[in-house]
Amino acid sequence: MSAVRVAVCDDEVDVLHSTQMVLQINGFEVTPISDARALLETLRRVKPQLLLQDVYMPGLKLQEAIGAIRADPALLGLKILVFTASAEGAEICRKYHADGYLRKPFDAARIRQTLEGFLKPAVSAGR
Amino acid sequence: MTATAKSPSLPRPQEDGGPQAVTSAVPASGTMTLSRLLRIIRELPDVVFECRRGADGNIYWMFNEGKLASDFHLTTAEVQGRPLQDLFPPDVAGRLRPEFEAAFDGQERDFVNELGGRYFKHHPIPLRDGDGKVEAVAGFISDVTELVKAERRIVELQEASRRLNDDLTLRVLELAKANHELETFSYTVSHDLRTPLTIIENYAQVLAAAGSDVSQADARKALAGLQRAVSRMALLIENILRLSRVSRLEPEWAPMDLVDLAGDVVRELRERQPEPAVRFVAPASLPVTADAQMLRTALANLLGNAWKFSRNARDPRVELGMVPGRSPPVYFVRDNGVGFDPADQPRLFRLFERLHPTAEFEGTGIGLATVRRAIERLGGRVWAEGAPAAGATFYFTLGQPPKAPGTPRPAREATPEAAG
Repeated sequence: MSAVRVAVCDDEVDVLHSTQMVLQINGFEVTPISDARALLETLRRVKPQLLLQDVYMPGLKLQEAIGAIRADPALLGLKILVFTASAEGAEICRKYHADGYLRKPFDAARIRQTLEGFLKPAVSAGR
Repeated sequence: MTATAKSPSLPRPQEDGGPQAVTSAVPASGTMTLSRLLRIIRELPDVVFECRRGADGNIYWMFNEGKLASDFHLTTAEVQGRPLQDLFPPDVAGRLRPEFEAAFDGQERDFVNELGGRYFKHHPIPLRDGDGKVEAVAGFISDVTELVKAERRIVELQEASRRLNDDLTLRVLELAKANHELETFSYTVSHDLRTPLTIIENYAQVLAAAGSDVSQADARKALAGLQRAVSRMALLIENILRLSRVSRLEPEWAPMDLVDLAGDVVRELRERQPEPAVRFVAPASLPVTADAQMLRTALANLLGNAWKFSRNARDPRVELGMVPGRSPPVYFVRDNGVGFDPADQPRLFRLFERLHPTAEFEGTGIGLATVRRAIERLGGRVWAEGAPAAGATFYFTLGQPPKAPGTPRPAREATPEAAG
């Protein structure tokens, strides 16, 4: 089975690179996106299964971005995780209709299980 | 007063006894003579008076008795036949006259007049003859000084209580604002500290896997990134502490030179960033009165920003100066750097707001919030003008020390309150 493709979108260079490295060590195939304006175009090209999306980025309107992803048939099934340092991750997630959230800093040693949990079909998610 | 008359004292049995031995407890009234009436009036604490209007229109005093009249040497013997304007100083007579005229015109009057720091209530009543014509005005005058003073005291107390209440409301609002700021502050601090923490956690994990899944080159990158994150976190904490210090300490006012302070800051900036060479322009001297620490903190941030945001300019130039002809004086720090979008103006001085991505210009988003806090603590105002790629100018004013320069203020601002 080929590696799970994850896109990480964050304007903090070191957050982006370190997250990319951690995910790669854990066997994910990672596409880093530092410029929010390139988000949709990159997603359409790479077609990842999962997007880790920072909330506050120059040039990003989260509501519009998520709306565009949901409206795009080519991106059907893409799981969107809000990637935030905020304690209100769950609320942000609800507000923007994301599939979940990952709080910064995340437990790097357990990131594989965490992301795989999000990728599982909804029926078996509640174990 | 009526109670004594009705006191149920038992009648004393008469010595000689007999059926008529029981007498009434109520004393006999006796004959009410003029002298007896006069004696009663003279014992009253007030003045009982009578006056008449003469053919010349003047109001002549006829009768004036009572303790108050004796105290002022204005008894009947002393005032009889004298006109009102003879008895009182001109201003008092001027005030009394229309009131008495009104009484002679048939109105019952009741007013308070001030005389030599005391207050007298006058109550003149028209006395009519058999035809209903006013033939005289009589009435009483009482000393109501204590009453007036008490009333004034009540008004003063009400006023003071209203002021205190207003003050309290203001303080409650201030407290709510401070509380809200504190909440925002702690929220954003913890939020912003989590970013370098994320980097540290991630790179540490990468380093833990070094050797097996991670190449030497990646391990070196991770280590460098980890060190950057640690420095950034240290800088964040340092800046937060500086902001807290500016907020917490009381300014110690002293005369100083803005240009001297700026000179120190510029030397440090040149040491830290020798290239590109930034041209610094300033007048020979700008004498001000301020707190050296706070003003230096503000200048360090303003000049530091000017240095940072002009470093990509062709000929980086930073200027410190004073706007001519403004009172209070308006100082400025101007650069020819990247500038900012005027639409971003409201975010400029907000804590942890950053207009530029970290990749382009490093920063913690605390600097300008610290500048504003420092300038406000010094009683001044700070604002900015700028346009994209057209440089930025930061203006500020400074307030006056609350007392003589150099006098330390009490740690807590005491409110002026009545002693006691």
